Amino acid sequence: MSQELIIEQVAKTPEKVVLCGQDEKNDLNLTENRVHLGTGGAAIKILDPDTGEVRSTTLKDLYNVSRLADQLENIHFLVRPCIPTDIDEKDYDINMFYACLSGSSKHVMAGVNDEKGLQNVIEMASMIAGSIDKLQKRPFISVITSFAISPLKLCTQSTHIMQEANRNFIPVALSSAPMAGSTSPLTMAGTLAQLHAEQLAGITICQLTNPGAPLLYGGIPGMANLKTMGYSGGAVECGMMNAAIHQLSNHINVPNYNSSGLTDSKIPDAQAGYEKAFTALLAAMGGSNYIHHSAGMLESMLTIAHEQFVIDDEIIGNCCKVLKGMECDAEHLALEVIDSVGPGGNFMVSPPHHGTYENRIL
Amino acid sequence: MDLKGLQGGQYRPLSDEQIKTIHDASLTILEKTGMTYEEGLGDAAELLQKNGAIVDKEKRTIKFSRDMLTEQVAKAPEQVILYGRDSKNDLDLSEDRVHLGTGGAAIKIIDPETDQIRSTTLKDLYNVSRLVDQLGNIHFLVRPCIPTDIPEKAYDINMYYACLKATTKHVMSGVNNEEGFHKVLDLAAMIAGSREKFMEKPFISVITSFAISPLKLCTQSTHIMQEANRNNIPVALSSAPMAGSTSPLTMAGTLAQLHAEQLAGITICQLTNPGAPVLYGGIPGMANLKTMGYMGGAVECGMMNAAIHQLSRFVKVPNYNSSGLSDSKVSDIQAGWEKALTAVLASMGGSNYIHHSAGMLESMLTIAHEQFVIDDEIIGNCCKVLKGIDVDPEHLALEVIDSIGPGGNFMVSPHTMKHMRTEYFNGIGVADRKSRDKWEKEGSLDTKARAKIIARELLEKSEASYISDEIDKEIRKKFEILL
Amino acid sequence: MTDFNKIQETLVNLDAEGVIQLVNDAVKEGTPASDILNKGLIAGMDIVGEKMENEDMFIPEVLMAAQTMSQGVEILKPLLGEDDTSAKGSVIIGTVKGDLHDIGKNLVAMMMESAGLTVHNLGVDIAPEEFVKQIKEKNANLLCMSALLTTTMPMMKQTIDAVVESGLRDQIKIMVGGAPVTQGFADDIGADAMAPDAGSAAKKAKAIAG
Repeated sequence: MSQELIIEQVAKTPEKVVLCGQDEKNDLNLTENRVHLGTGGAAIKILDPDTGEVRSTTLKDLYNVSRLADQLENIHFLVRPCIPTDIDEKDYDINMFYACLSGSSKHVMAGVNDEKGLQNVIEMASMIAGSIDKLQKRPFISVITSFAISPLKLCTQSTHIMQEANRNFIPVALSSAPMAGSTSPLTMAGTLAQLHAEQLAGITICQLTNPGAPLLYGGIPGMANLKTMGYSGGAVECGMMNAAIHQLSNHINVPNYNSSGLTDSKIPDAQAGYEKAFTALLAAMGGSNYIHHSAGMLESMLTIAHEQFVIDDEIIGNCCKVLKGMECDAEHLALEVIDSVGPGGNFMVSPPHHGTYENRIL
Repeated sequence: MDLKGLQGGQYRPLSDEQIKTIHDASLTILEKTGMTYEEGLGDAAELLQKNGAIVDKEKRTIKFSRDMLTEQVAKAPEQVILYGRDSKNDLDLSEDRVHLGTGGAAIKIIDPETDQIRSTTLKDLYNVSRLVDQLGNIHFLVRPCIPTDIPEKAYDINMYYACLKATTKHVMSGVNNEEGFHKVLDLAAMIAGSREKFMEKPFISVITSFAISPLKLCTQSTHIMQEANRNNIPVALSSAPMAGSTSPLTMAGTLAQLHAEQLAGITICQLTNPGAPVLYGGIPGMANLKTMGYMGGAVECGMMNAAIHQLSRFVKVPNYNSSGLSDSKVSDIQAGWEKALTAVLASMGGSNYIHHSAGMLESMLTIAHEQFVIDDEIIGNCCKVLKGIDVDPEHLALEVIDSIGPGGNFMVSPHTMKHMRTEYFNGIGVADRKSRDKWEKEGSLDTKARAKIIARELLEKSEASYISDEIDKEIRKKFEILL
Repeated sequence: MTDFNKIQETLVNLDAEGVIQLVNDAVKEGTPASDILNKGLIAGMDIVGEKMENEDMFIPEVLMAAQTMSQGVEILKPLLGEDDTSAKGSVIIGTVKGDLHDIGKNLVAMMMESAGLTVHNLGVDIAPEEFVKQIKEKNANLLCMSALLTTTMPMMKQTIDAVVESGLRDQIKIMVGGAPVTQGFADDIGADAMAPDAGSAAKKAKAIAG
């Protein structure tokens, strides 16, 4: 592809994509360095909430965790976190979206099996919205397509789904996820360069398909565990690279979808705590617009657990608190309070005029 | 992978404008509100008065002029080297160079054998010092626990002895009084060979809690601080207000008051001995307003500790602060995320000497062997973030991408072989990256269990005393060594 | 007298030139080619496979060892009799329909070849009918299927169903693998074996089809 073609087409992409919730309070404004974090993945295993044992995920599980995500306020959106392995594959598309949309009023995103599946999902969402027009005005669903297989290969089925979403003005996340050392160069810079190239190509296809189509730059830099060739979702470098990939998407003015907040641990233990905290915080401080995989997952992207959704809600909240920063106006500097309490005094009973407890504490 | 001393500064919670605002507010506090002092500190008050402060001896208040503060703080060195007895452990405290290590004065330990909580002993201090010696990402040793099994008067000498016997990393601790301080200097001189040799590369330093927030000078600690100044021993000027109890509830107010306390402390040091090496020692903390306990694991501790480095950098004094704590009582997931968040924020802030970053639980009350091992991994990860992403042609790998081509794979590329041991962080086995099947086959161990095994293996290695038998005999002749 | 341990050790240490030298020396000494292959190279790769299983070696290093081994085999090929080369097991391997991921699967294929099995690598996106057709054509006694996507795992079951329908199930063993595949899943769909990594895949393949 020529540089001119790419530059011209990428420039047609909207700088801002609003992903709506069924409830307006859950609308997400994806632009600039605005940060949102939520669920993600296609796990097939769950730590059973009653027995603690690993078992296959069901449609009911998907509905239950969607209800959790609905009530956990630091989880900003719902990318379907698990696959309903108890139903027929041809029923996946409709039932996954149905379970999510009935469990939560937050924005719902998932992949679909084929173009027919996408059309079915759009039809169902239109019924919920009232009409297709209403859905397109407030798209509370969107799709993910793994259009590229790294390195640098287009996948036919997924590219077709992506183009079908473009034609319907449904926001689409252009997922490509190379693993440094296996499907991209081992070095972080090399992985970012290849991944950015894949994204530029994908965006170009979308904008040629339907100029101005809403999309999310979907580069997900990852790492291979060179001892097993598995995915190392919990590595701190994943957080660093996901912060960097947002810089690249921001450079071309396209809002981005990426991944952080994973762990390679199998259970909610100390490793899960620090790996999730590191990667989620770094991606959040990087300004990533739509960080999926941030809630509920264990064992990289293979397992979910109810308790992990709750814990990750807390971790996400902490990350966002960092972004909120500290206020340094006269009220918060509190010079008069310091003077009136005086050297050797204490601030416990000082009048509550210098910010409330709630204001400061998460 | 040596990751110590990397430059932070990627996270700047305060804008340049806000730094100036807070600095100015701190000068106003010292000018208008002033400090108070405990009985017995008339000498320091007089020293300040002679140099332009307004002292009211009746009310025991000191008000500082802006000019005086500015002039004295400017005399503090911009760089302090904290030496190890092995030069590979030297720490260059300057600019935004980051080091993390242990800290605290815990009195409880999770017993490595029984897993029960019990009081810490001198032997515990020695054992965890041995752990610190062997854990590559822990850059220095601030004595992490108090030997509650020995008499208090024996603390100073025995704490330093236990630490110095177990590690060549830089050792820092508080002392009870000036006499204790001099005994410790004698001990260090004996280990170095002579006082002169020790002073060439002082491998110990002291912490003094000279200020009791808000804005009060502690007599005993201020005297120790000044004695360290006179002896050119680096001293950390610890003051640690808790937002909501000993400083304003708001973060900005806490920073303003704390920065004021630091400016006052540094001024006293530089009047005592111009050019004396000091560490700006502001440790912003938070009170848990439901219990009035310390909330070391709050994410805001990480934010404020990053901010306090910005303020120390503004006055060009290297800093000592605190991060990497958790309020959890055990090495669980809360400990994981709280430590990661606060430690990485303070690191990315560029803090020069972050203590409390290894081994602690329950804020600063408890230590655990497994936690030292886990925190070694967390610190390593923090430093890896500071190392950043290399973007030269070799790392961009355009030729490699072209030669592999679309649809290929990079596993057998020489480029992969060349970089696979250095591009990514490698720990010592704390993190599990195996498949679930394999993990289950190996006993489904959680992080804590794995870390306990690693700690045990490290301690089972033969003890390498860093004090020779000959010198040890002399030391024991001169001091009552209880280890 | 050829020191087979030395060949193994040199292979494990990824010294390609050293291995070639040792193989040539052994040939000159008149050591039977089949011994050099089995007691030297294949035995060396067994150690590599074990190290890989225990995560004592990086996969790129394992691949380098496999490449070195095939260079050694090239030297031996003209000297090996018909009996020596007609390997013990014949394996069909591929990624299931709808799934285009092949790195792990290729790794398994390579390790199986290094273990002395005859491997027919069909590639990716292989439909159940194609698997069945190839089993017949190649007279295979082990079928290996890979899937990386959780959404394509059900295709493994469909492939097994097709094998059963074709009447070939009795003559062939079936092994499955891929990041999301567990022993439980393998049991549920009626596979004979599951391998979590390439090292143990080769070992298991040898055991059940070798």
